[in-house]
Amino acid sequence: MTIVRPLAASHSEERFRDMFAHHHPAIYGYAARRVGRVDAADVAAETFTVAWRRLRRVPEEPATLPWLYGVARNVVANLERSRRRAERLAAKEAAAAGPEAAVEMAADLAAALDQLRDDEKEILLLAAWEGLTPSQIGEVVGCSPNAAAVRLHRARTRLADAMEGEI
Amino acid sequence: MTHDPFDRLRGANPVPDESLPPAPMATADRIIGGRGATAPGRWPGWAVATAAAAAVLMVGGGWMLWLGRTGDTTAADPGVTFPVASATTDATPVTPLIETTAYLLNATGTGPVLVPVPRSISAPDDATAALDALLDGPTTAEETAGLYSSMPQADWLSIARIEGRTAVVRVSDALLATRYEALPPEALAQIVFTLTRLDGIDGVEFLLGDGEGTPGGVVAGTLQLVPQAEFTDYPFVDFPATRMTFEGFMPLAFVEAPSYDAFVTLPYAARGVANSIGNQVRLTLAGSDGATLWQDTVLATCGTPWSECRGESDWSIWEASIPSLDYTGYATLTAESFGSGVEIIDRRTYPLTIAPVGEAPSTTTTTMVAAGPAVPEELAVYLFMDSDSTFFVPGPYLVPAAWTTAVLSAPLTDPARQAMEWLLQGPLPGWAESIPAISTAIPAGTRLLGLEVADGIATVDLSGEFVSGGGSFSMRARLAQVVFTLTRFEDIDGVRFLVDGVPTTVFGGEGVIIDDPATREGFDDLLPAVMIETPMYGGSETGNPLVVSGTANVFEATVSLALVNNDGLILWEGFATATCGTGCRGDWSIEIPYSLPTDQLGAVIAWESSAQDGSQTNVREHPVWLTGADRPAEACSGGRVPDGLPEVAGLPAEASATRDALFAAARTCDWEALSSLLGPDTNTTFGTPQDPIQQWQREEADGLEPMYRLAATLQLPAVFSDLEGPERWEWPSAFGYPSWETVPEADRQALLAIYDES
Repeated sequence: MTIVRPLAASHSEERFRDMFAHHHPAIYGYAARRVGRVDAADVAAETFTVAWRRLRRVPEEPATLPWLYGVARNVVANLERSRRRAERLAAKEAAAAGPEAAVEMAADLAAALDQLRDDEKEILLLAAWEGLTPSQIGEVVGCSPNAAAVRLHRARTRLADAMEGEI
Repeated sequence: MTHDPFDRLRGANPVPDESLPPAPMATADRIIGGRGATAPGRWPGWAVATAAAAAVLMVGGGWMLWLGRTGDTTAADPGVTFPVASATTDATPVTPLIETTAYLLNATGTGPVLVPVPRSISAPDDATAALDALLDGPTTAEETAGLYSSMPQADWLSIARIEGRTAVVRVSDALLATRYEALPPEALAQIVFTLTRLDGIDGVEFLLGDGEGTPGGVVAGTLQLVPQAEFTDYPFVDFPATRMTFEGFMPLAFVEAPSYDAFVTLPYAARGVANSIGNQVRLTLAGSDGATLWQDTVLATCGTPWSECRGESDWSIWEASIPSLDYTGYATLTAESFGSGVEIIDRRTYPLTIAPVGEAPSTTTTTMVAAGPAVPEELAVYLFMDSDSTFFVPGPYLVPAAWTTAVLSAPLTDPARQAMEWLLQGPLPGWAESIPAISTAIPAGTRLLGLEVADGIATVDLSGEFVSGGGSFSMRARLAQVVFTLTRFEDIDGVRFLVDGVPTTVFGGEGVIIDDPATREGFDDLLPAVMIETPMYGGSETGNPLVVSGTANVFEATVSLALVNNDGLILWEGFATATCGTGCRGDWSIEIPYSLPTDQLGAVIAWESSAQDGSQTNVREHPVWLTGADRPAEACSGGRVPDGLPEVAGLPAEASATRDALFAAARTCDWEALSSLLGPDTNTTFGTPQDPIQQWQREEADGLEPMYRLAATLQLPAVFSDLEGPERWEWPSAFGYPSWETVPEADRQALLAIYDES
């Protein structure tokens, strides 16, 4: 018996659900690569909570995903800040176990990556792991596509130099 | 092997795209449901409204009503559905609404324990209702309270049949394919407790696989599910499984009735099972302010309805009658069981709502405003709120926490001394476990040796423990706690410290030096970017409008603020401007008006909006008691709907009369009239002991405004319909159309008044 026929969900909700269904895996992946899978679900949920609250400000496709990466980046930064603060305070715990290594890679590559500045590293990883184009990277980190392309190129060069032991 | 490091970097992706899980759409629902709420009286969206309310009048004058659970966003689920037949109309057959109890889990230090929760669910029979309710899992509120479920995917379990006193649960092939991993012992315990709660069911058997299936039993000890063919491999297999199979999941003080967060009317017969030496169980009912309303110690009788007594201190059943009390609203029931001495070995506390005594007469049901907490004088004690490490709450930073003078046995004579005494006691029980945690830097055992106030300077004498242990951060933190607590009093501007009577300005091994006298200046690093000074953390001495003030050092001096109710719904959102910003600390203050039907614990949330993306940073949240509307005459939500019903062309006289009567009753919460409109067959029609009137009264008490929705719905445009059922009129008219686009323009205008987006 269906006297009450469900009508379409509100436009906002439908849009949000679409966005969530399409982009949650990517945002979860971004978070998992940087903070590990344990916290990734929280980061993704927080990112989409921001998106829901500011739905009108979320750009239409195809700019949606870079915008979400930008928010996720801030969420991760916040999480790491509070983590570091917690670690400083709980000196005992910090002594017991270091933070979970989110990323495992060859030692030489990891060492080279560590020599890069944080912003260079971020741009490199957005290109390498999230597979973003320079113009998308620009939207995430807040610079023009050209600037992003130049910075990506420099970051790649510096990574190669670091591998050669030149910096 | 490639030599370009960039390509190697690509290959070192720790979480390749192929390994990503699909989007958890339940999280999307939670985000929409939890954050999207709007002002009371408006429905947050079309989908919610669809599930929220619809009235249907039969041509003959009978009527039906759908009232969904608030917060549901599933358009396809009409929520609570019940038909009401009148003498002139045949009600369309509808699945009855069944009251049942599901058992969820709550983690403890010694593993999960079972917690019964109340549910109303549409289902063809009691056993299906109970299992479906269990498979639905916890509500958001229950999740927040730490309850969870270990049940598998909903379509993997079903009721196969009832055989005598045993329920047979079918386990699908899909679940078997997980090699029982989707059905751990705690999930089996949930199923067995939920189904054996039903009258006439003592045990549960499992039917493994689709089709014919193989009978399955539970191995005692390991609590695995095994098919009958393997029974001989194990010394003991419980077939059927009973509550005793899963006794390990029972807390030692187990309250079975009332359920967790139930709605009860007094007097009430509480009962449960305990495992207590001496068979004593202590029960305490406390009001929303924590004051004890009633307490009793009852003697349990060894053995339970489902198990023999196996000797002293075995599972025992207890019963206690909670008498009628002059109290309504939020309360907690605590059950405690004891070890060999007087020590408490288990304590379980359930929240519950006490309904007004007696039923129906409209004169009493309109005054459903909870008595709420008394409003005592409060003192601020400065503690530290830690970072919560998962959200944007940095810490630890100072927080003014509320201590109520209501707990004092003697009148308060020296507030500063009392505040110091409380400060030395540290956080209230439970605060250290809250998230974010509330803590103190003052070492335990520190005593107040003296306190004198003269010329705006307080001289405080503390025992030597005050300077023991801790590094320089801890030392400065404890000094700041004392300074802030004392200088909160208007007549105190600075603090001098004595340690065991010796004037001291240099503290600890690392030589923390403070001013003499010490003031709030110089402790800025211990303050959060956004500091709420009023209302205090946990404060109840709040008025309406709520005065919120504090200090902040935030970008462009803008402090974002929100006030939320007990369910986390936003009542007010806005911002205040500090007297100084972006690099300096300024004062801010704002008055927040709000309206709530009942007193409840809400929260003031203040934060700094990130200059980059507007996300919340430096969040501060103070739980505070909010005052409900003190206007019994208007406590009926239907009263907010203006009088007068628009004409509906072609509405037959009988239907029109029913509509008028319904509207009048809804506007005044006239439960008697509503009850008579429901007709004498109500209970049998519903197939449930639950009275819809009680349901509405409960929703009214909870501020869900069912009568507002009913009255407002009847004012909307109507449509005649004879699709899939008897001839009838439906409110709002949109329900009679296949989609929003086909609703006539004139109706749309009227409907837009209540649907905020469509």
